[in-house]
Amino acid sequence: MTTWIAMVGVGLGSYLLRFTPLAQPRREQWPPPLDRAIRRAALAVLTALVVSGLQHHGTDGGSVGTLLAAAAAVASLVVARRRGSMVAAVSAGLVTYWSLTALADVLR
Amino acid sequence: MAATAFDQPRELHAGAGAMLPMVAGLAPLGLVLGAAIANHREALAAWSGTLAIFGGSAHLAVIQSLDRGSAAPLAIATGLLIQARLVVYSASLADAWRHQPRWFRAIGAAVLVDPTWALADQRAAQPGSAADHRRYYLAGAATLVVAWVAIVTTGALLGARLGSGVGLELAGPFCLIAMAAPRLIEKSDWVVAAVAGTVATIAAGLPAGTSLLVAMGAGVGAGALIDGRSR
Repeated sequence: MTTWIAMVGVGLGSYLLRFTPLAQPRREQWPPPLDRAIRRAALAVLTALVVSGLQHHGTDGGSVGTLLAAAAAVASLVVARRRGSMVAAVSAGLVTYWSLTALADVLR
Repeated sequence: MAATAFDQPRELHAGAGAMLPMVAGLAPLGLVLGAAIANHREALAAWSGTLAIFGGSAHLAVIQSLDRGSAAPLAIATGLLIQARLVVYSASLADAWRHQPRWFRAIGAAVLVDPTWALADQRAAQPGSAADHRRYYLAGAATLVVAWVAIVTTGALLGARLGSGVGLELAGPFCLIAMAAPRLIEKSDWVVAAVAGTVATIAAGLPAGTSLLVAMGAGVGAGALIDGRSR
């Protein structure tokens, strides 16, 4: 039930966010401090989710698994910044992780 | 200039064609989202967000937040924070769409997301009637809706076969990195991300996903502090 509530809540909220400015078209813009705060809140949440995902992986793979995942995340970020492509960023992260995991297995 | 019968299919084909490369770029996120849906305890409810939320990053964030034990209000707040950028997209189209009928603005808003906004913004800068712009947008949006539902559903059906034990589950965080990367524009954005990431690491032990809120507050606070110092 929690998931249904969350999906409906985010769905309705998203529609309000999408439609409200179009319902009464105006040329006004948001105050810059509010605009910046919203942008940064989204960035902070995305970063926290990335960290959470890497830590979650670490609980399965141990501390070495977390380190390897963190290194792969850095590679993914570098490629995302340079190429601006999600496919390239995900591929770079996964290839780095697999390469480092194979190297770690050889060194053990 | 009024649209002719000849213009109608041209705009429809152009809108759908312009959306196809964006669909290809979104495929990894859709598959990862589908896998997350399959592994979620209420898979059907999670899948319903594919159309209800119609935003991959917010949808994935809500599912991951629920998987980490967050209550519904916190998961909703997390999703809406990520969707908040849509207000800016919508506001930027308000002027270009002011001559469009209300029904179109109501339907167009429902499928407004990064790729459809990019399409609408691009088409609005080119010549053509309101009907041309409308057909172009609707064709592009319809293409995205059909493809998005198909990709997410495919990911959900493949489910656990996508990634268990070989590290493919890391594709989720890497998709989020790809979404965060373009937001790292100014030095203060890097500080916000660094502070939020550090706080999320330290606060990982907090109950029921509150680490997300703490990290968000710390990140926004750090950004505001930098703004205050630079004045």
